[in-house]
Amino acid sequence: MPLSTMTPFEQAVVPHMDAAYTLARYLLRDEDDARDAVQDAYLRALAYFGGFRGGDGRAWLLAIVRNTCLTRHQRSRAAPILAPFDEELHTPEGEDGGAALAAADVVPAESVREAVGQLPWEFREAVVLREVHGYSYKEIAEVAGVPVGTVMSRLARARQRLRDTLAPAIRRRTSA
Amino acid sequence: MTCDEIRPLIGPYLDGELEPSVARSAELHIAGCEACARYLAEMRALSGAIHDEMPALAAPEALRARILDAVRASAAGAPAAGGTEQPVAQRVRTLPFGRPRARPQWLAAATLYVVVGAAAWMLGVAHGRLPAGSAESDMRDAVVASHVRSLQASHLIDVASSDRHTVKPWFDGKLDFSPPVPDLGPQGFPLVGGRLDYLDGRPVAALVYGRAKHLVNLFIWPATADTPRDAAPSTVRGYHVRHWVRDGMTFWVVSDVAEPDLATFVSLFQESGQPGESVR
Repeated sequence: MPLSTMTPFEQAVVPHMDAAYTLARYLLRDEDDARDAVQDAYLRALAYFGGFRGGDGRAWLLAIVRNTCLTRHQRSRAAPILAPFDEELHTPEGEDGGAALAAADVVPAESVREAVGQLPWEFREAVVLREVHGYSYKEIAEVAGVPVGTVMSRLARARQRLRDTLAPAIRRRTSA
Repeated sequence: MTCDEIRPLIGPYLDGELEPSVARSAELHIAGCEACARYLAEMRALSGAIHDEMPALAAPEALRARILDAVRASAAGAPAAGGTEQPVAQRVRTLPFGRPRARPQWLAAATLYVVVGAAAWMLGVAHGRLPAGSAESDMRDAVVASHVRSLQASHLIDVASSDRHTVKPWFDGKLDFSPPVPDLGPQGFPLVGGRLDYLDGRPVAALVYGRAKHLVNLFIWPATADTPRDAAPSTVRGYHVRHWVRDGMTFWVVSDVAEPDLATFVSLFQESGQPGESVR
């Protein structure tokens, strides 16, 4: 389609469908769920496009995809509707961070994908946006709606955990 | 720099997120420290493994086709086809984003048009409603749709608390304004919590209050020059709706509580004397 006949939405948002699907597919474990989430996110994006102030259409879309996936994720875990979404409370590893991560139930993962899939939501989205989408900390912060410092600490803890669960696989790679 | 200081920097170093001077210090340390060098190698290997096993994916063709259909349908002003996401699709239809619509030959029909329009307006006013298609009725529909959606199990509350000192600060940093969050518990409307919602093309604060077994959704965001003025109470699909503007904030409240109860709620809220404020 020639550019001139495309609506602003088609120019700014539609081209990022692969990035949207990639994010949904790695955030949600179920493929059908990922498809539904992306479709739902696009419908929302259409409805909210009046609020798009120009700039990075991909980050704008991915923030909506991320929120849509999070809602599905919470629903699928049958999380109580009234569960508070609080930064402190919402970190499943508890307050002592690194120590708990290093010590507690480190189960070797069969694959990288499985290991990433087992990460708590906040860690998973940071890892996927960083490693798969190649996003900067600032861009991740924008999509996840948290400060850059939070992104940094989530990524550090996520990698620490991945390093532990994937230790055998990583050792093979580094010694090879 | 010590190993303990370097370790947390290795991830950001690999990500290219360190200041050049800090990166240089980290490199100097790593060059002389076998343990940190090994850690760096492991982190690099981890990154490589993720790259290899989690490639960027292509959206399935069927999904692409469905989305493109919906995009074109909305551009043409028609409802999106396919019914799995009906509430959202309906909302897409009700929102006033640029939909070029075939105009009738209005010059020929001008007289009839004006007469019918005026009659519709008067009927609308008589029933406490505005003509469909006005910014205000569009917003009213959007507000009711948001209320209904919030009750559909998935997403009523982001922050659950009856304490206004928990709910109000929760919005800090998530919105460019600070909504008033009065405590109306003693008057029979306990605070249930708050969430972020989207209306009028922007993130807005949604406060949820309880009344017996009913819920009240109050949407708040800064008013603009285009914001409709205060409106008469109205009812949409069985939900009572009230709207007012005060201290530069626009307020929409929706609930299925009895209309007099909602009137009480609005008075209590307005009398609480808490102003909202822009923070940017």
